[in-house]
Amino acid sequence: MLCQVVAELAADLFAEPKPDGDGRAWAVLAETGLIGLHTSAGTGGGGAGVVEAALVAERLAAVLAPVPFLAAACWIPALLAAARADDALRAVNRGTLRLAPVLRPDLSAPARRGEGGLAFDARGATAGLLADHDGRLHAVALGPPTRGADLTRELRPVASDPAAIDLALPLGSPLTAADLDRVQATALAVLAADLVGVMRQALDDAVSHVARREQFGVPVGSFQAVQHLAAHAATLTEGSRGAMWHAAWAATRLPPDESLLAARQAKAYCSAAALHVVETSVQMFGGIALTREHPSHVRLRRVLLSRTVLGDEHAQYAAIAERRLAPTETG
Amino acid sequence: MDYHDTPHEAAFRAELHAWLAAHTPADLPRDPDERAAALDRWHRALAAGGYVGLSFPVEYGGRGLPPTYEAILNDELGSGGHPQPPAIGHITNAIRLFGTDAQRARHLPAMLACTERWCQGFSEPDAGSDLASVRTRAALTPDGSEYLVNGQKIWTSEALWSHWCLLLCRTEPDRPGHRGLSMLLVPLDTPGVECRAITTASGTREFAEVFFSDVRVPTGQVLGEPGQGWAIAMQLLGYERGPADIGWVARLARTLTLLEDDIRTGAVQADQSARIAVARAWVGLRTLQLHVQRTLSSRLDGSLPGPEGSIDKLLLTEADQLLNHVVLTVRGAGALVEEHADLDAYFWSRAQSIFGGTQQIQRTIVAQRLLDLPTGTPGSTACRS
Repeated sequence: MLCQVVAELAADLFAEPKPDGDGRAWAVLAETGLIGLHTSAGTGGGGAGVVEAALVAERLAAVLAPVPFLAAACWIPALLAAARADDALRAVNRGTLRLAPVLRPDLSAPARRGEGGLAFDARGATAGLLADHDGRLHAVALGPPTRGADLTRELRPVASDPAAIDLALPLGSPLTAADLDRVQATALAVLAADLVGVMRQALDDAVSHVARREQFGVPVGSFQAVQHLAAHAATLTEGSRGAMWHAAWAATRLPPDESLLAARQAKAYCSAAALHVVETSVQMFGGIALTREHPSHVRLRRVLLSRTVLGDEHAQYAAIAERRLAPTETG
Repeated sequence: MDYHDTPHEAAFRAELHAWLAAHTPADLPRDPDERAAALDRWHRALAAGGYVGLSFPVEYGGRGLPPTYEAILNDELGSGGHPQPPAIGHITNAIRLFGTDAQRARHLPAMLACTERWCQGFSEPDAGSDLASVRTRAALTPDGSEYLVNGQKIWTSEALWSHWCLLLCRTEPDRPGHRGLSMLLVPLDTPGVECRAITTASGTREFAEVFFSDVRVPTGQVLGEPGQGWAIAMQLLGYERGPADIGWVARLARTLTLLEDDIRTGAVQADQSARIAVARAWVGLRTLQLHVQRTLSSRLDGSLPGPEGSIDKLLLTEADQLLNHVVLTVRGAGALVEEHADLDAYFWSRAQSIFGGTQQIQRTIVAQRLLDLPTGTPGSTACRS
C-alpha cells in the first residue's frame, strides 16, 4: 500500500524534470511523512523500519526522482538518531533542515573531519555532516555542485579545513564504532534499494519495448536471443531484491556488525547486477538508449554513482573477506 | 517478512543442532556403491530423527511444518558441513497431489522413512529439453487390466538404487506432443526392466539408462488420470527446480563452509585475490539462500511452485558454477593431485545448467511466462501447456 502511495506521489511530482529547485517536492515528502521514516515518532519520524524507507527509495529511484531522499531523508536521520541529536533530527524530519553526508573524495567511505571530500546527494543542503575522530558530528560548509555524472543527484565539495556551519541546534553525543557501523548498514541498504529501483524499471521498460518493436515482421522480443537477455536480467533483479530486503531488515534487527555484513552482501550483489541489467536494457532498446532523447543514460549515470558510493562490489568483497575469513586462533 | 527465527523455529533449530551433534556421519566414501549405501544410512537416520518431510502434511507422515523449516534444515546441514538431505520433495508431492488414497497410503510413509527409494523416468535419448517428445509406449492389454511398457529412459537419477520408478510414457500414441502422456508407478524389479549405469565425469553412478521390454504394469498404477502425465510432470518440475526442495542449497553451503574453514585455519593458502573470489562466491550463495527463503515464505499459504521456480533454478546455477570455479581456483593443485571431492562438485556444477531443464529452457520460461514476451519464432516455445 505504501508502495502505491509513493509511486503515485513520485509520478505526480517528478514526471517532468524540474531543473530549478525541489522545494515543493521536499515539502510534499515531509508532509507525507516520508522523511526519517525509520526514526522514532517522538522525533517526528515515521517509527517504521529501514525496510519501509528502502521501499520508498526503490520507488523514487524507479522514476529517477531528483530529490535527495537517500541522503537527506535516510542517511542523515540515521546519523542524527544515533547521535541522539533530537532537535536537529526533528528539524530534518519536518523538512526544514537539509543536510548531506560527507564522503571521502573517492566516495568509498564517510570522510572524517580534517580529510575533506564530497557531500553526497546534497541538493538543497544547508551543510555537510561528518564525524570527527571521536565520533562527534560537525556541520560544515559546502561548495557549489560539481558537474558530475549523475544528473539526478548533486555532489558538493568540502574543503579539508571547512568552515563550520552553526545550525543553532546541538548535534548530539559522539557516535561509537558500533553506531557508525549501523548507520553505514542503513546507508548501504538504501543504496541497494536505489539500485534495485533503477534496474527494475529499466528492465520493465525494455521488456515492454521489445514486446512491441517489430523487425523482420515480428516483435524483436519473440527472438530467443533477446528473450534470454531479458530473462537473465530478470534473474539478477529478483536476486537483488531478496538481498536488499534482507539488508534493510537486518539494518535494525541484527547486531551492528551483522547488519553491516548483510548490507555489504546486498550492496555487492545489487551493484554488479544493476550495472549489468541497465546495460542489458540499453542493448534491448538499441541506439536511442545512448542519446539524450531517452532516459537510459540517466539510469546508467545514477547506477554508476550509487554503485560507487560506500564501495562498489569489489570493495564490498574485500570487506566481506576481511570479516569472514579472519584467521582462527588455533589451526 | 521477518528473517529472525520465530520461537518455534528457534526451538527447532536448537533441537536439530543437538541431533546433528549426536549423529554426525563420517565423510562420504568415494566408491559409488559404498557412497550410495552411506547416503542411504544417513537419509534413514534423518528420517528416523523426524527431519524428512518437514513441510509434508501430517496425514501422510510428514510434520506439517511451514516450508521455511526446510530452509532451516538446509541451512544447518550446509553450514555444519553435513551431507545433503534426501531429494524426495518432488516425487512425494507428485504422489500426494495426484495419487489415490491407496497409492498415498502405500508409498508416502515408506518414502518419508527413506526405506522406499524412487527415481524419475522422464528423459529419453530423443526427449531431453523437448520432453513432450517422449516415445516410451504403454499399450493397454486387450483385457484392459494392464499396460505393456516398451521403451528407454536415460539420465534416470538413482535408478540403480531405487525400488520404484515414476514413469512418463505415451498411452495414446495418436495424440501428439504432450497430449496422450501418462504417469505410471513402476516397481523396478518387474520382469523386463533393465538398468545400466552411466558413469559420470566424476566417476559416480548416480545416473542410469533404464530399458523397458514388455513390462507389465497394472492399470491401477496410473498416477492421476490417463493423459494427465504432462500436467504432473510440469508440477513436479516446479518442485525439482526449487533448490530447497532438493537439498542443493545445503550441498553448496557445505562446499563453501569447508573451503572457508580451510582458509581460516591456514590449511589452504589464499592470497587477496583468492579471498575476494571466495567473498564473491559467498555473496552469490547468500543471494540464492535469501531468494529461496522468500520463495518458501510465499508458499506458506500452501500455494504450489509455478514458473517462478525457473528464477530459483537460474540463481542456483549461477551460484553453483561461480562457487565451484572459485573452489577449484583457490584449492589449486590441492584439488588435482589426488582424488578430491571438490573436483566431483565442479563436474556437478557444470551439469547444473543442463539437468532439470537447461539454463536456456529456464530463460525461455522466464521470458515467456514471467515477462510475457511473445512466442512465435519457430522452436522458441519453452513449454507447450
